[in-house]
Amino acid sequence: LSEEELIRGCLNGQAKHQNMLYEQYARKMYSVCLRYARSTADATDILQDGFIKVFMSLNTFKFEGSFEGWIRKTMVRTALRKYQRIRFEMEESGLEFLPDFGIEADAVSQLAEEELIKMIANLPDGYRVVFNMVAIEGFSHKEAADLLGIKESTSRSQLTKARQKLVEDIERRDNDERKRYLKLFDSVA
Amino acid sequence: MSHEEFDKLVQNKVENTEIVPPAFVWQNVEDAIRQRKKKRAFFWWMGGTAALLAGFSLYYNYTNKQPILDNSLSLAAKTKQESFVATSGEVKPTIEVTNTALDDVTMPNKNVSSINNAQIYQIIVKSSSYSSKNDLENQNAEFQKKANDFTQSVPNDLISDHLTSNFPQPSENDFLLKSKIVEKRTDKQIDLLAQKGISWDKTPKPYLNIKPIKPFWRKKNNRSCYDFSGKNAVFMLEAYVSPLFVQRNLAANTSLGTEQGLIEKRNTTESNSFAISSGVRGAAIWGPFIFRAGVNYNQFTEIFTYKNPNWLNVTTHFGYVDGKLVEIAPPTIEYGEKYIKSYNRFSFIDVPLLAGIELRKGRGGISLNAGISMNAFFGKRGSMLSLNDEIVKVKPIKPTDEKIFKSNVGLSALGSMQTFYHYNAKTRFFIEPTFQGILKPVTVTKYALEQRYKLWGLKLGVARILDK
Repeated sequence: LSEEELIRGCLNGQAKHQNMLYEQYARKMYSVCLRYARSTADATDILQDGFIKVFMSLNTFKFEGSFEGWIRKTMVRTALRKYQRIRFEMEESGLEFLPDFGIEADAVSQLAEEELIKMIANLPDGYRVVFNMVAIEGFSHKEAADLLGIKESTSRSQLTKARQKLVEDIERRDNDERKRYLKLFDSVA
Repeated sequence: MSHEEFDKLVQNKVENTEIVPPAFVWQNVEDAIRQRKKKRAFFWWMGGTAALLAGFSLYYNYTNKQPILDNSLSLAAKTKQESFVATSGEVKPTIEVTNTALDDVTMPNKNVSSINNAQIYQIIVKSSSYSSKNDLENQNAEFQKKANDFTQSVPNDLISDHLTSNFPQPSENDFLLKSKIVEKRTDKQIDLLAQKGISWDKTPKPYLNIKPIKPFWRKKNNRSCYDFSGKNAVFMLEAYVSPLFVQRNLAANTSLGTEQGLIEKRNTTESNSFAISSGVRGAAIWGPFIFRAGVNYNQFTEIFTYKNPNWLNVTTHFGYVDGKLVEIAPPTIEYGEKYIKSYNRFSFIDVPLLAGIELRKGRGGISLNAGISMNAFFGKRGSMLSLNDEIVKVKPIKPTDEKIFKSNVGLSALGSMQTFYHYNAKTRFFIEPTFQGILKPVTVTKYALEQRYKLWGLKLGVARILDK
């Protein structure tokens, strides 16, 4: 069944096609929701509301561009609407000129995907949303600022802080792991 | 590691991650979609129904409206509310006429001098609103008289312009019910009139208010069961009709020693046909006892068919020649088989007297009745076979004709069981299996056979309790 046939089936109200469409994208979109949501419960709410919107506004999809991208945008918008009153921390200038991180690529690579998502989800609201939008979804700062109703510079500073926080979390976790391994090694020796 | 490298690393790691969501999410999504579909369907239906109602309402208002004409304006004034310039004075009142029900049309105060801008209206009423044309015409006549009295009391200069004959004639199926003077004003207008010293009754009483005749069958009677308690006697009138099954018995007249052959001949040449009974009865009810008396009519037909194998008919032809009666042609001889068929009809008019017990419960009940019936009239006509294979008339015509049947069959024994159901307090429908046995033979004692009848019927009727 092609993507177009699937969509047209859904438009005709075919329950089977609707279920197939959900099954095809639900897992990917759930991970998106988990990144944007404060909690797992919020993530399921966003996923649910997002898919309802997808089915209800399916007729607006023009069959141009990626369908997955269209669904993802719907999910992101749903998440943003849920956190309309995000408190963004005070803007700090010069943050964009911070030096590179000392963290090694392996530290990130070795992380389980779920673990990394959990770390992102644990970021403060402003950090989390901007990091997700700009660093992962590929929005420009201008687009993100427009969508969030903030200044572009605020978006930049939120992103930098989010990275810093995330790197710190990854490093802490890395250190903890090292200590755990050393302890395990000592006990074995 | 540069910031961009870090972003890329994280993006690659999480962008396409798949995590299985809880199962209930799909369930909720599916429910929500179905629910919204239902809601949409509901709103479509509501919208559609509203549109239909609006369409029907518009159609009804523009097609089924009784024409109300305001001659001071134009013949086209058909809208429910029309503003018009008063014939005198400076006030511009708004006429409001509810023309869907005559009851709603309010007549002005009888004090004609206070009316300075009366309007004449002709109201044509659709015939379908009334149960019969007669009823309508009776009311119309009554109204016309009162309307004429009224219009005569109005100063001519006030309404003469309106009494023109420009009103359209009602269509073939509709009736012109009445012409009348109608005026109604709003409180504000009455206040304005008051300022100008013109009095107006704020709640004008109908000068003439003819209520449309409501079909009697739509009347609702809340009492469904008549209260027999505390009454000495209740009188009731019954009317019924009944199919009849006629049981005939032919036996040899033992006193004459007639041969049996005639019974067989008659049984083979005569057969039963249509039979019916109808009547009216008056009933008096004392507690559980019921007594009935009335007039009953029974009629039944027997078909007589006979094929005469040796039929012969000779016709001689005579004429006057030179003043003498002579045979002018050879005789015509006809012979062969002749088929004869006649419908023998017997009719009885009886006066039944019945006594019974009536058991009532709720709307229904039964009554068991027994009594006698006295014959008042016994009618008969037709033909039948005699002992000598001759065709004889059932009712003798010539003095020489054999008399077979009595002129009065005398008494009958009656028995019946009525089951009834009250449609309303005073009206009941009933079904009544009935037996009537004529006690003596209907044939004369000189006739070779004794002919007896038993009649079985099923009366279907309606009864009305006569109580004011």
